[in-house]
Amino acid sequence: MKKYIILTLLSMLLAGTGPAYGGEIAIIVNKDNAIEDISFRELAMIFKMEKKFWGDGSPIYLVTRGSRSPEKEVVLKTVYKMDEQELKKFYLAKIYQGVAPSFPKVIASNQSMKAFVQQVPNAVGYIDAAYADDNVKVLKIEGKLPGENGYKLAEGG
Amino acid sequence: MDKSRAFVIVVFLLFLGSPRLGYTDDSQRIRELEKKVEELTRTVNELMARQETAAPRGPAVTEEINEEAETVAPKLTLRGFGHVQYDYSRSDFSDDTSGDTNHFTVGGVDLFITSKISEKISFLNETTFELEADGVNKLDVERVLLKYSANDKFNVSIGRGHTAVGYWNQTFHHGKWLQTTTDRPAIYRWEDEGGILPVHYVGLEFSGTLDMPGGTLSYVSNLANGRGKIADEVKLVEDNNDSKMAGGMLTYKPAAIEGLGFGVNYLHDTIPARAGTTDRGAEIDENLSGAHIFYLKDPFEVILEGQIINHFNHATGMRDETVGSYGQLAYKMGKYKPYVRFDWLNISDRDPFFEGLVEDETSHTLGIRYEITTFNALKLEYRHSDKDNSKSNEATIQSSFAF
Repeated sequence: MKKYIILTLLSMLLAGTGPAYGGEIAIIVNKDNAIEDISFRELAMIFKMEKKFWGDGSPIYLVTRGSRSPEKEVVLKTVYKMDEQELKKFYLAKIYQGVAPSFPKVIASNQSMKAFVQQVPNAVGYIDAAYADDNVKVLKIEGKLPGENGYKLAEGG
Repeated sequence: MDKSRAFVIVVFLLFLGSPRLGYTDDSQRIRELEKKVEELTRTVNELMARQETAAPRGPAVTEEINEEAETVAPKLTLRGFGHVQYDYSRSDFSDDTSGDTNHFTVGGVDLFITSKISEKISFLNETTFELEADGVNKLDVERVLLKYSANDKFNVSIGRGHTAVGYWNQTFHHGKWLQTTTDRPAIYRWEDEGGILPVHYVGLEFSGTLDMPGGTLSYVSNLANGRGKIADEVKLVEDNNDSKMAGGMLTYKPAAIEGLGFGVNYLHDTIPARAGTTDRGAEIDENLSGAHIFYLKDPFEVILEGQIINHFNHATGMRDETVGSYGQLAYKMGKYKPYVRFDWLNISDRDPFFEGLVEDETSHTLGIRYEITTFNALKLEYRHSDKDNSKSNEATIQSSFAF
């Protein structure tokens, strides 16, 4: 029994070494990207591959998270308004229609997502807002950043 | 960081599993364990801090970034669609005879290839392998398109694709898995299956999406080889006359009503004369116009479309009009999606271009689609159709899939 107590304590300690999941999602782009603010509708168009270019004409490189991450769950609920299975069909239809060349790249963790967006100039992705730092630019959605009242990309949002 | 955590957990589990050596009681062991935990936690935190100060990337991420940054050979992606089905049909023909048929059908394989050649150039190919009734295998290159995407407002493709004629023709292609029903509407039948519309083109396609007040306006247009002498003749490598087929389609999606879209399409072509005939001794001017409206937001699927084909026959000096439309309604309930569709087609009976085709057709369809898995659907469908006064009751069970 004591073994399990200690194991639980250890798990809690280890879990505490990274920011705890905060329930809000930050949309991140490369720091060199000129964009600062985006409407929720534009964001949905980017995520649904209906808008595929930034304002300067460079292609948008959409990166996403794996199907069971809490961050993906929030994005599915608030932006896509569909479940994971429907999203897979949605993307396959886009590819089949010739609208999109491939599925978005899947990134395994918040840290990896941040690193990817930091390095790839035209990338856009999303992370748990608690992981956001100066290495990437957090986009305002409808003029609001994560943590501000009325921010739309939140659990239960 | 993940590796560090995994390492700590493995070490700790090994530690727990080791024999109890030198401990006098449990409390001493727990104190030792706690000490170890503290040490390991410090180690993990130090590793994380080092990772944060350096560029925070692991080998996998570095590989992904390199893959993005480097110009490597284009990566070809192969996907496919297929279907198998069982059909039963009971018909009462217009000559007062009747009969029934039932059969299994292997719907063939639809291979779909995409490749991103550069940031703005992509390639798409759809090739079907079909099994014909006479046992012959048939290979059809249905779509082969090289596309240059300048920006959201302007894309140009060259090759063979589906014409900008109606919503269905632009949205659903040869794979049956994507569409709710087992088959296409009557007005969008393929040219080689008795279709009346030019659903394929060989030439150029221009497309894009424009921001408009209150929504978006998307356009698709074609400049391509015209139709052949008969409806089932897509001019792949040559054209019978100098006149090219030109057409376009506009679709407006208002932002205020998510899922709603509506639009129009128009196409002009000059159909070449057909030697050896009396009523096809000269060209036919073809003007095709249509409209569509759809509302696609779960759980609803509503699609309504209509097309009018106007032919002016220079040989006879007569004008003929062919009209077709359909309406489809579906409602999703979890993995089930019941649906209904009404098809109507009225071909001008004196139009020599459509000679040999069913002239008057109405069809009522009732079905249910069940999602067995994400990429495999089972469709059960009943149809009652009336084709030139021959009435049929038909049932289809179809399993369609993507792979």
